[in-house]
Amino acid sequence: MTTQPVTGTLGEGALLAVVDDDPTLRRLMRHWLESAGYRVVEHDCGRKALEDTSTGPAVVCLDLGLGDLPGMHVLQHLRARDPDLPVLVVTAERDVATAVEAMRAGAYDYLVKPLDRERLLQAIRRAVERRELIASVRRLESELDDRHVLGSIVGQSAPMRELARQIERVLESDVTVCILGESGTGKELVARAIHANGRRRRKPFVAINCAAIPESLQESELFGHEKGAFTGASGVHRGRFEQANGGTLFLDELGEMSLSTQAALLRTIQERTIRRVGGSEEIPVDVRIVCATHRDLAAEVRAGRFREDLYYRLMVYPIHLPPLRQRREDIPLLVAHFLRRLRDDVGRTISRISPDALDALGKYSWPGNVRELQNVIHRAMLACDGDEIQLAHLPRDIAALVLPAVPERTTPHTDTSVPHSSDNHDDHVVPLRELERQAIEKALRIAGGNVGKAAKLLGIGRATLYRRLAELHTPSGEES
Amino acid sequence: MESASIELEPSLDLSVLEALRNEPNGSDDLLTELSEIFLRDVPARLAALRTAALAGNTAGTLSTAHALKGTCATFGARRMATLAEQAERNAALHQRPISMEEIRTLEQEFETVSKLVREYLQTVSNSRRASNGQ
Repeated sequence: MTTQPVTGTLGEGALLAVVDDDPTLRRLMRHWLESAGYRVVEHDCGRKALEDTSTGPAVVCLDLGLGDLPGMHVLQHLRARDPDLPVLVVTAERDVATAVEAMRAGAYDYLVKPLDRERLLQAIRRAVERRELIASVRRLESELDDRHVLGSIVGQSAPMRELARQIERVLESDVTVCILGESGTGKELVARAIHANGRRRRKPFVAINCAAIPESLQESELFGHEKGAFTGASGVHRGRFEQANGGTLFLDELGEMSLSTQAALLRTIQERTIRRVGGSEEIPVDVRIVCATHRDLAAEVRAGRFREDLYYRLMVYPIHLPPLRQRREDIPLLVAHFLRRLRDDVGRTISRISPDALDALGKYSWPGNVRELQNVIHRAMLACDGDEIQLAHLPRDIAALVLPAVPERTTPHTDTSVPHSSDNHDDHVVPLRELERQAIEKALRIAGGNVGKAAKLLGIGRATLYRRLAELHTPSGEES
Repeated sequence: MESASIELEPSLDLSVLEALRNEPNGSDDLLTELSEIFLRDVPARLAALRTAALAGNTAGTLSTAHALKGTCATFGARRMATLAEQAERNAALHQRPISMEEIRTLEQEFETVSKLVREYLQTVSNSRRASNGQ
């Protein structure tokens, strides 16, 4: 059972869970369901069914008379975890009141033992169809969001018009796309746009950030694992390739992938099959790969950190995302977009930005790119009391680009009691603590609130940065 | 009325076993496997029923009898399914554990059922051997 929207295959080959303490009936149901083309996972008690969060069945057949937990309790927990999950209640109880109670608790259907094969298969077919329908609606909703996203990434500058042309050329093909660009340029947005506007749009989009997963777990995350494959592998886990089957797999921060995972990825691309960790079965997968990195992959190949054969496999269609400093003319559009998009988040409407504030934004170098711009606008909106963002709402180093000396700010977030480090007062010494605060604030802004990245920029460890933040009482910014 | 209706129930509904044998994609092997599971599972449930009854555990006897009823119904052990249902109903009505007498009746009935299942499997095996020999 899963906390996420269904990831298991639907339709023919859908994964079904049979939860019953009667081994004879479980075996018979497995036979019936597998003969009809479904895959089956069995649980002989309610606790195991609730503990299994990895298989993600499309439908659950649940016996109400389980030995360990009341079936109604299991039903309620399954439905609370995934309200879209159809649960077919199977029971030897003919009592109408039990049936009514089960339906009220969210059971999709109610079957009485001894089971009739045709009746069971009919109910399963209807439940799987319902699950498919719900999954399609969810995908369409997300697709609509993604299509809106495309509007936000395509500005009117020449580099962005060229980017739009590049994206359009690959929408209707399955060619592997490698998105290259600095941090914060919107690589994942482009990947989502390619998926949401391409021919796989009705299938899943699955993203994995290779930098966020320890090397030892990368293969298990990508390819899945069998029960008992390693210590702690208590159940079968379907990897991202299987989850993305039919759709698009986005491999973010590809340059952080370990060499052994690179070898397994190359094999998968060549063979179009995956093998779960600890398994021997070759499972066919049909996945379009879109990857991204901020690293110079050619240099990584020369340094021996990235496989040359994989490099050529992935670099079929590179798309370069321009840094924001190379498309400053898009800044007004982006600002307007963020003012609209963040309106709900800050709880009020701020629809304008003063000309000098916009001028300052246009002059800044934006090392953290669009993500940094979004964070600056978000903080300015939080600091703004009226309906217009003004220069005083911007970070000091940005505002200073249009004003040589910025007056002290009054908002709690931006208030500092000492002059800015760039002020030209030869006899004034900026306390180290203030310099440190400014450096930390800037690093966090550039890193989009990501403490790990900010720590790297500052050349200190993550733990040290957390300690400094606690000492300075500096807000750590938003997580990106 | 109840005992009369029980007497009319067959111990083993052979049409259920025939149906299992003739399942689409099924085989004698499937029937054999299901029979083995049934013959292994029911004694364990009867033992659990006896333990719960000896401990005076009403809820334990009720849930075990309920499970037994489902298992027997699935496999065509109709009389045993009815006996389990009656024992469950009586115990629930009087708020007491299932009696040792009821359990003994179920155990005796299971002996009959298991004998009939084995005989049926033997017949199936013989007919398979005969058809292979032809």
